[in-house]
Amino acid sequence: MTDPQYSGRCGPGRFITALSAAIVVSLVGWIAPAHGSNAPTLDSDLIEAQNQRELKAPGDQTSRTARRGDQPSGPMQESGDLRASGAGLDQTGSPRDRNVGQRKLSETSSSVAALFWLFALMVVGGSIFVITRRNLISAVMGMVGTFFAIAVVYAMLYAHFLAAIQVLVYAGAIMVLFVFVIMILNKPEAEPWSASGLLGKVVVLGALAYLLARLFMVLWGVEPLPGSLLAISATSDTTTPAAPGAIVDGADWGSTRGVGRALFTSYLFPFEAVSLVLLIAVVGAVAVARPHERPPVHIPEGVPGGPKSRQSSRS
Amino acid sequence: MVSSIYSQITYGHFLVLAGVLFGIGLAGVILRRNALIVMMSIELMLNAANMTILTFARMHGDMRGHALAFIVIAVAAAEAAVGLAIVVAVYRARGHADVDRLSTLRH
Amino acid sequence: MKTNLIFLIPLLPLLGALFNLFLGRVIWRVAAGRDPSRRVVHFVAVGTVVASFAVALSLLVGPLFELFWKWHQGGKSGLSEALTQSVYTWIEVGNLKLDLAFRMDTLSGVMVMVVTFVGSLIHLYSTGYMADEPRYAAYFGYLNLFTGAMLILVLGDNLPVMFIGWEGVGLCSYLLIGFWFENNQFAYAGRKAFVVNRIGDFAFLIGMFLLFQAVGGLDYETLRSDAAMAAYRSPLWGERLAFWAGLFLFIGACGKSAQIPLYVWLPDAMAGPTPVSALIHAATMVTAGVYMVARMSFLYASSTAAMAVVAGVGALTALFAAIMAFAQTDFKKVLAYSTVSQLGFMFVGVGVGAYVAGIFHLVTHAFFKAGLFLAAGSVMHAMSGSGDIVKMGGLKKWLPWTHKTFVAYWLAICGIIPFAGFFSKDEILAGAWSAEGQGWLVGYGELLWVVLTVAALGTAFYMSRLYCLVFEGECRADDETRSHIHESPWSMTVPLAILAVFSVGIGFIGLPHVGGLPNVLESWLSASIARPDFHSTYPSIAESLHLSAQNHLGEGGLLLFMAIALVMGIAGIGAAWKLYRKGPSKLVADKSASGFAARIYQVVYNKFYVDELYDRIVVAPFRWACQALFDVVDKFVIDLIFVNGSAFVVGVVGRVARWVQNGQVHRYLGLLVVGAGCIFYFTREPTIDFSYTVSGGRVTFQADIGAGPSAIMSKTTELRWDFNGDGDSNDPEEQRFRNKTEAQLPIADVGSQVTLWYTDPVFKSTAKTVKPVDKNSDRVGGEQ
Repeated sequence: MTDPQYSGRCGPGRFITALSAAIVVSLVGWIAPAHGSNAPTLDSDLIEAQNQRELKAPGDQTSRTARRGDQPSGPMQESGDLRASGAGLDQTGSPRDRNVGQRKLSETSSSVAALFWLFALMVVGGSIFVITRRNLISAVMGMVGTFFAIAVVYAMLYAHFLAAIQVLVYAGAIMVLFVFVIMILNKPEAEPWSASGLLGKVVVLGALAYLLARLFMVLWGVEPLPGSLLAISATSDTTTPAAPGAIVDGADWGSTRGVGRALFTSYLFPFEAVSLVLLIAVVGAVAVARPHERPPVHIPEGVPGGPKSRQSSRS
Repeated sequence: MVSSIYSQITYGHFLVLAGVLFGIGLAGVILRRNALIVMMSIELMLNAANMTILTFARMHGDMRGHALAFIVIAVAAAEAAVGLAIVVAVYRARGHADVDRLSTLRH
Repeated sequence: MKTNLIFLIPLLPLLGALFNLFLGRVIWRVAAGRDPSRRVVHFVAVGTVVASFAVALSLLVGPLFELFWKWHQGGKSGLSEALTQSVYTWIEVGNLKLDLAFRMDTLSGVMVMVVTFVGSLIHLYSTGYMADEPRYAAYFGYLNLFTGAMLILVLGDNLPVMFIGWEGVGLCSYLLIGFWFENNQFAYAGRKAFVVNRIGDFAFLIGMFLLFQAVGGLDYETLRSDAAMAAYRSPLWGERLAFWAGLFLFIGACGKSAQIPLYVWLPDAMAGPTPVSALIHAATMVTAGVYMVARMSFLYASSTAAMAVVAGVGALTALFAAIMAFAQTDFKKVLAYSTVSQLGFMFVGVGVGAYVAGIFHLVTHAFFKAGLFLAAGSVMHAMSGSGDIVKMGGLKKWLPWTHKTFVAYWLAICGIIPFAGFFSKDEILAGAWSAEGQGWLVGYGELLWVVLTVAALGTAFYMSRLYCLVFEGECRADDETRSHIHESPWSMTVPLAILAVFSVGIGFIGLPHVGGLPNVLESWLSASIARPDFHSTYPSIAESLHLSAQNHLGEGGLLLFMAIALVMGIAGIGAAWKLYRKGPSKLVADKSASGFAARIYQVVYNKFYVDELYDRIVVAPFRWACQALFDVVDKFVIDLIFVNGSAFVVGVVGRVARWVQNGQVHRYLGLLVVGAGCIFYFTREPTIDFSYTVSGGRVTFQADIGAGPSAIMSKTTELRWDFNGDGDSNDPEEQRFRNKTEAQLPIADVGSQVTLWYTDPVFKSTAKTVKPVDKNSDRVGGEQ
């Protein structure tokens, strides 16, 4: 494809992708010590009691930013570290704190908050970037950045395994697929947003905004069921929320083992079924996207443009 | 002191973030004409759903949510594959991938 | 007395009509009008009427005469029994029960005789007159249909059956007047006749409705009963009920019998074939009105005002029509106006209570007027179809039979003794003179007599003018026509002769009570018309209801009136003879060439411009209204608004609906989002409910805050109770249970109704529910 659009010029999409990858890598590592802390919850009465030790110096983590941003292997390693450090932190919690990991809460809460906001902004910004690009490759790059940021958010939700899977599958496979397809059809739209039907678009966006507002009002007020936080932690103190620490057989909450447990016990059948789905998807994709050849049309002698052409379409 | 809504991250933050992501994805689906952008927006929506699932999983301490999210990712991958294959086929047949122009199911 | 034969009388002509209209036409067309088919058609047509006559005659001289004789021998008290036949129950709804019933009493017997006899003669005449008519079978079909309908009219035992015949003869009149409908004028004439008749029929219906509402039944027995007679005297709208009923029925009779103001159709009706004019518009149909008044004698006698109206209208018409006949130049038009005038005489007769006189004149008039028309037909036949009397003259040379019979008719209508018209007309005149009704103007009867006498003078005059211009003098026809003048065939002259005989002789059935001469008709008719109780209530009417004025006048008076009538007749003849013996009168022409006389002549010649007046007053506004209705309702409302409008609406709706589904998934998705937004918008109100349990002296309330994310009692949810009904939630008890979904109180603290406010934690909107609390039972209340 010799499309002038993909002439190697560094468009804004790729820049943002690179930047976001770098930031992700660095900050995920920075979060790692924070992993042992509390889940970001609402227990405001705990906040006032916090005045804890500092996080590790961010300088240690910045050395990793030199790496190129497109091989997100960092988080994977981090997760191993995280596990260890998380466990370690749990056990090295300061005894003078009644609540495990509570000393981390203030700085972790503010730093977690800052991180959260940063990556939330990246998510939102990246997604807006995606839907406003005329250039498809730029959109794909923005998508990748968004996925990285989403992976970070997953990590903040203590879903490390899913974060890794997110990057692997989404950013690593699906977006690659998109790139391949874009290379096949590289026709950008003349204009991304058409002014025709503007009123309709405005109405729809208004309805969407209303829906989202209602949704947010509900979601914002969602409170956890009392006692739900306690099921995770192994501490005996049932009144305080704890970091999601060990589960019964010693693995972390959110780890591969945990997911595996759930996947191969409760969700075994969907797991197997999904493999079938993937198979069907592959077959279907091949069948649909395969070019169908048409043999040349034979017109018998003397019949002008006769319709009696034999078309044997190989199916 | 900054208000606690900014410094204290709650589940609601994550849910709202997922909602915003979902809304942006939906806006992209409705407003963009290129089929590939539409597919990407659909992926965004799926990710938002995933985020929601994981938030609630964390809230309830239930690992099964993670398994569900895993399945969702797998199915999203399958769907993307097939969808892109369709887009390719349509592009081959019609010469364009403009969703608005694909209106033969009109009657 | 019940009999099974009456229904044959109308049935036979109707069967003939059926045959001729359906089969006869086919046969006629197939045989292309050749002789055998002609025979079939007119054999059936004439035969059925003759058969009907035979049946009627046999019933008359058989059972009916027996009944009459029994009544006569029995002292002539009350009314004689009649032959009745009820074919089947026609209407039975609510209080109304009507049979299709026929009654042959002496009155209807007379009418039936006239109709069938004259009808047969005219049918016979038609076979000659209409010999060259291409629609021969249709003509006879209509003629038979008419005869059948007329017989239903006169034989009906209740007003609706009479009305069937009434309408039937109207229809046949239309069909026959417009028989040669290819000519537009003839078709219009037929339509005019029908429409004017219809106006009368409408009034007839109103009259019937009034009678039904007052009396409760419509057959003659019920209408003549004592209860009905009492009802007639009840007041209604300022007058008696009998007045209004009689008036409306009389308006119907005006339409049918061509009285003022509904006579305008009769002169135009001369567009039809001459035998039709003879039968329908001389002898039978136009007499239906007179028959009706005579039949409803008891009704009219209950209201002298109605009688005054009838007589007055009749007299006015008689005079008016006679004047209009002075200037007519068409043979049949003269006769038409003459018919209108003579009908006026008849109505005066029945209007003043001299019912026998009216019917008598009806009978005699039938014969000589039919004869006059048939003679006119014969003359027109000879004159190659022209009826212009100005171009006739001196025809007595060429048309001997026609001439001789015409003389008979002429003298009869002029009222020359001993021809029939003399006796009948004289009886009417005498009856008018001596009539006195309660509430009538003084001298009203005498006034009627004067008017009628003048009209009689006029009658004599114009009839003689007609005779002179046609038969006397020199022939003014051109050579072409003159060469074709010939006497009519036997099928035409024989009926003429028969009618002439009757014109001469029929008068003798109604001889005046002079010198002991018997009045056969009077006795015959009094078997059906008198009502004895009138003697007490209305003595004067009763006297005239005793069917002749002879009681009042005495023999000398009668002779005097007879003389006066005779003198009038002779005077009229003489005047006309002098003026017109040699053809159109130069004197009249000179006098009416200029000045006042000319204008009067013009007015009379143009029939007093009555038709033009009606046109201006009635027809033009009606036409305008129709056009306006068409423009507004038809073209605008229906066409534009409803038809085009509904198409337009459908188009618009289609276009709008089409917008929804244009194949673009984006649009569908957008609509989905908008729809979801709408759903969220319209379900934003929170709901709250509570239930309560009463047990052990305590009431337990349970709030139900529903399901969903708001269903958790979060920090921002607010529940406020109001237990004692004071409208707020500030009592300590209520404070205690704030934000609690469960509350328990002693019964004493709970008021009669409890309010619960709920503030939604998410949307911060408040809902409330108020429920009455039933504290008495140990049961769970207030649950959904």
